[in-house]
Amino acid sequence: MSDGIIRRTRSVCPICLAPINANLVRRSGGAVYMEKSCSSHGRFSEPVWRDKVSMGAWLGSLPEIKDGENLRCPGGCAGCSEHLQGVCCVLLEVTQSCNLQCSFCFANGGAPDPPAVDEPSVASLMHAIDKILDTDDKPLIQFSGGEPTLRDDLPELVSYARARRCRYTQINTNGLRLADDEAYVRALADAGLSIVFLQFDGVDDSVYSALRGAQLYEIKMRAIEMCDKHNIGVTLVPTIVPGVNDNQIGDIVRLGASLSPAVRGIHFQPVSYFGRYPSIPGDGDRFTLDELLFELEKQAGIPLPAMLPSRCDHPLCGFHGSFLANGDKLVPLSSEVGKDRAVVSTASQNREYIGRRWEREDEQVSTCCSDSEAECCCVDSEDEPGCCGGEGSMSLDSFLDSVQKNGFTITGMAFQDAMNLDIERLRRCSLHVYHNGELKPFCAKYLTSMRGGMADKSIDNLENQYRNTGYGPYRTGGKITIHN
Amino acid sequence: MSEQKCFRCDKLLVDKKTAFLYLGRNFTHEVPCCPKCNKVYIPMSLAEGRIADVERELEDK
Amino acid sequence: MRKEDAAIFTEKCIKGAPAACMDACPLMLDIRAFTALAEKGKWNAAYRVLRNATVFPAIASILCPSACETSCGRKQLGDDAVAIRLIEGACVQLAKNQKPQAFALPQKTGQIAVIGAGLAGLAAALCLAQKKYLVTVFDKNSGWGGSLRPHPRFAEINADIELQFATSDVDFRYNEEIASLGDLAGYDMVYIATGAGGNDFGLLPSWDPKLLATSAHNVFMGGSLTGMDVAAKIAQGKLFSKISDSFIQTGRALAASDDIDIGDAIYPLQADTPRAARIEPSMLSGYSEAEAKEEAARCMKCDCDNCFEQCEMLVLYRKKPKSIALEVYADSQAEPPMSSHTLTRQVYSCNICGNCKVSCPVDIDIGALLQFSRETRYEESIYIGALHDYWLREMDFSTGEASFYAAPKSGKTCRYIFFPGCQLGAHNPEHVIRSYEFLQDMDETGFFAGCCGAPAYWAGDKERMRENFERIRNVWHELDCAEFVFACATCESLFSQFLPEIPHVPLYELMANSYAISPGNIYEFASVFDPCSAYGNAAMESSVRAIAVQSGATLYELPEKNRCCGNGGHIRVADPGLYNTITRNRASMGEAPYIVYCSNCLDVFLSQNKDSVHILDIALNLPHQTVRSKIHERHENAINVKRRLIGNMNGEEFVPTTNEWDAIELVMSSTLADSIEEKLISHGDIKEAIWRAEATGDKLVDGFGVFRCSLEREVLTYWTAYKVMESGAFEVLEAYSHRMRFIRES
Repeated sequence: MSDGIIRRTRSVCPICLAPINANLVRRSGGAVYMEKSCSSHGRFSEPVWRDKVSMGAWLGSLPEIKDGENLRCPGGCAGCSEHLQGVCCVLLEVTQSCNLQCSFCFANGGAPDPPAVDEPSVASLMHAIDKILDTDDKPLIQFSGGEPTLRDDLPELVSYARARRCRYTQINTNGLRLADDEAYVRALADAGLSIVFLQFDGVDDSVYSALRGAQLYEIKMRAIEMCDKHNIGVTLVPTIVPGVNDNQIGDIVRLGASLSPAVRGIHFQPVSYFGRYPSIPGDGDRFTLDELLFELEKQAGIPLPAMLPSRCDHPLCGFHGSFLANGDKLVPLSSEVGKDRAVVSTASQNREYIGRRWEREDEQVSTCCSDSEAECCCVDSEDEPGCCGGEGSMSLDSFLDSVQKNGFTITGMAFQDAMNLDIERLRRCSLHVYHNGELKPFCAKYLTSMRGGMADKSIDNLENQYRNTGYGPYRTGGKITIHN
Repeated sequence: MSEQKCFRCDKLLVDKKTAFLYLGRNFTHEVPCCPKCNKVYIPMSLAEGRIADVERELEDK
Repeated sequence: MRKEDAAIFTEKCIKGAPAACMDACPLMLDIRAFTALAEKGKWNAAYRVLRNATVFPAIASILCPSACETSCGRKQLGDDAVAIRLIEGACVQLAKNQKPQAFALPQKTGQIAVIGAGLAGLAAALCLAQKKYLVTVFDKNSGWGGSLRPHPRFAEINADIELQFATSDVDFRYNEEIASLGDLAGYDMVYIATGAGGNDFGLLPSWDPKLLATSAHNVFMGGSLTGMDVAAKIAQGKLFSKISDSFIQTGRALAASDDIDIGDAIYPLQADTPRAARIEPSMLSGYSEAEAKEEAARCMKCDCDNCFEQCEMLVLYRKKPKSIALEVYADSQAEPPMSSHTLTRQVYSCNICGNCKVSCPVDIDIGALLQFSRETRYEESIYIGALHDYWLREMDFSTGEASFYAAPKSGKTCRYIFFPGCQLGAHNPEHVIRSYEFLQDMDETGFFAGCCGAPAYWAGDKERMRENFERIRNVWHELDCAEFVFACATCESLFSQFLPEIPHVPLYELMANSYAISPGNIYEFASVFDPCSAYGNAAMESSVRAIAVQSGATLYELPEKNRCCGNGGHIRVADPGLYNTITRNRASMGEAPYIVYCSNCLDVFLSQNKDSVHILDIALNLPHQTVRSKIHERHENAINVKRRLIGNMNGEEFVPTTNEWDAIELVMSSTLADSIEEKLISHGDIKEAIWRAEATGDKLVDGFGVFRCSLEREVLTYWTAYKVMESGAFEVLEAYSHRMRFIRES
């Protein structure tokens, strides 16, 4: 495959955030890089696809962004009439505080010396919920932070959202409080919480020590147990950082599947560099979406055709696959993959999909397993082919049952940061963040210039260098090369 | 309702796992079948109950 | 329609767009939401809506020039505009919780100087402070307020400013007059709001009203200095705080993006709203709570709900036209079998009656959109055969076994071709036979029993439609290209659309013009129920009325015309519950008996026990048909029409194709007969199943001598339970079907 520009789009300068043009360029090895140049800060190049999966096939015939389209993106992002997608899920930050101090945090929560500001009042958050649910899309609400469980009144907020007919409510949590405060979990369950998005980076403590600065594995397992006890569905959310936990993808899938139906799915998030991160990312610090797909196939045996590119967002933003959990194995349910990925699905379709798959069925509903007459013929019956396992054929009962109960989803979402921000992707974003009465696409809201997010000051050196030499941090192939 | 017999084989039907197909998807379900010739019986309660539920579920996808 | 057109098909839909008053308000106050809350006495919530828009709610309630009133929907009715400002005043008095919200945002680093602590400067400063910028306000006076300081109600104005700034951190520097912008060199941005005639530092000529920018890179300007009124200058302050975000981040001012262009859309006048005079305040200080609520209730909350108001389907599925269009587009892009998860049922639940378009101020036909979806789904093989199988099989019958055509008996050139459509003779053979006699008496008239293709149309099967039209066109050429005479509005509408070259005339028009209608039969009072497919067919509508009136009936017009009886779009299998709701609603639209001119409408209303008659019973003086024809009777009727007409015209004997099972006699309870009619199961399928089971012995038997057997058709599998009677007839005990296939192991 030859070098060349395969798509034109727009992005921002990762240092000053000025809007600039960008190209997706295929290198001779097949990998695709975003290349862009800022008149003040030089040229930048960032890997976006490693060619582990054919990018053309994955992307389909989705049109490029055209001249004159979405010119205000990402600066004037909130409620923009040019945005191409509705709102599927809205993140509502209910606190800035956190009981961890992770080396990565998109929200830059729990900063050591927090600004002296009040936490948002219940009234203002209820107002925010009103505003979110007053939109046409009736999105899901994900209570986020900081660490949302630090608020004692979180159940009240969940309950309020449910009362306002929000069909699905989620919390985005590290699980620390859920693990040990049963009364709190019960209160959340009673409030009608649908889904817990549990930060879950790996299956042993080395990962947690590296990423979260504490040994959390046992705590995570206790949190899952507690949610199970109170019938709140859990989705595991691993942040995949190359060299830290990218070798645990298969283990996470197997563990998750074996914990079904307590665990309803896994939502992989390749690391991105906004909010707070340790240092300027090198080429190898990127874990692209196709690497994730490749590793899922390699480590977990999940066939690529079982994964469908995101239709609600941009194909480069994520994927989803439906499965039936059977022991620690997953039987694919997803439809066969279409040839053309220029398939847009609306936010409400996506919301139905997410909500139905991630919410646990109410135990009160009679299923084949609780129906005394019909003997359950499905779960845990590996020796009975043609049922859940076997030739992809299952019983009528288990199908009806599985639609709610044994279904398992593997999803992935690649957030964008200042280095790889692609306006073509951003304008199709359906995940929004509530902020001061407005809804902003997630990657626009948390967009951080390299100057702002990093813990170390290496960026200053790069800036100085560009000022003195006219050459910027142009990266080719693997490592940062300073041209001089 | 008394038990069903296969008229030709003169055998009482027994429950047997049977394959079903709809909108490109395969399913199995235990239904009364003739032990000899495999003639299948789909009672009305099944056709208008669970089968209809699955049909509707698949159609809505 | 092309696929890409589907996504923008409802682009012009104004549902939810700002009402004219909101569009007129520089602050974009959500007046509908505000008055809705005020009307219910939810003053705290109303106050929040007010403050979010106006920044200083009390000041707005005192000073706002009320641009909203000039475009109030009430004025179109001849009433006075709703007194929004007075309601605002009451809200400010009545809201108990006015504490400003504090947002827990991290402090921003941008430093911004505001020159002038008048309303314009204060609005900008407060909005910036809420975004956590570091704001310094300079004023040459010893306090805030600017030109408002001498205002007689300055005490209230002052209190509002104090209240709104209570949780924000702003550095006010009084008695500091900025003489030169050089004094503010350390600030990232400067906002000049020095008031009318104030110091513009020479920048006013370069001022850009859209971006508030001036020729000095980081200097912006607003307020009375730029000639704005109270509302507009607060709006500028809000705008400036947004522009600051982009300027501080990128060094460039970018326009804010939340202007919604409603174009020329004007909400339809809510003409049926009762007139109501403006409430005059009883107190000098303004409205009492009761008065404010009453005045808020006068607000008509102008929005467009027209299509929802008259469509059960839209109400049931709750999707807004814009979402429907997006989903139709998404589906049209889908690869099989990846169809939409949420739209399929709705696509096949639309009557495609066109009423939404009639009521829509911008003429959006959601039915056309969903029809398009049916067609693309059919092309892409993501359709569900079972939903239209019944009607497509009926079409096979009416274009096959039941179809024939013939030139006039005289052998002379055709003047007309009578095309009665598939249902007229099926429901009542006399309607066809006697109408044809009338036409033959009148002129040389040929005959063509066939189908206009509506079942294929509604199934989205364009290929089958094309084949059918091709055959019709050939017959038309063979019969001297004569004018078609239609009794069915659906036939006429599909011919107009797809066979425009064929001239046609409604049967009823010919009857009304040249037929002696005998008076006094059937109804003294009645309402004509026009079918949906007759929309815009003035000839049909007026001639039917003319016949009815000639017969001596006094007509009461129904409140709405051309509503679909329920049969349109063939939705019954896709959503039986919705179908039943619609048929019930239509049957109860008018109290008088209905006169219909569509056989399907008649069938629907008879099934609802609504007193109804077909216009041909009146026109031809036929016995009033009060019982609907069942499925198997309809087939027999259609065959009888063919047999009789062929005999009359050619003297030939028509011998219908017979099957071995035709002779089987079925006996069943009336309950079961109704039930299989409901399930759309025909006697033919039951007979064939029984015949095959009896012939082969491939059946089940239980201890009571009840047999059970099944018959697999292309789409459905039919089951029946039966007993053999002594007479040799078969007593049917159960009949049902399923769509799923089972695989019998060999």
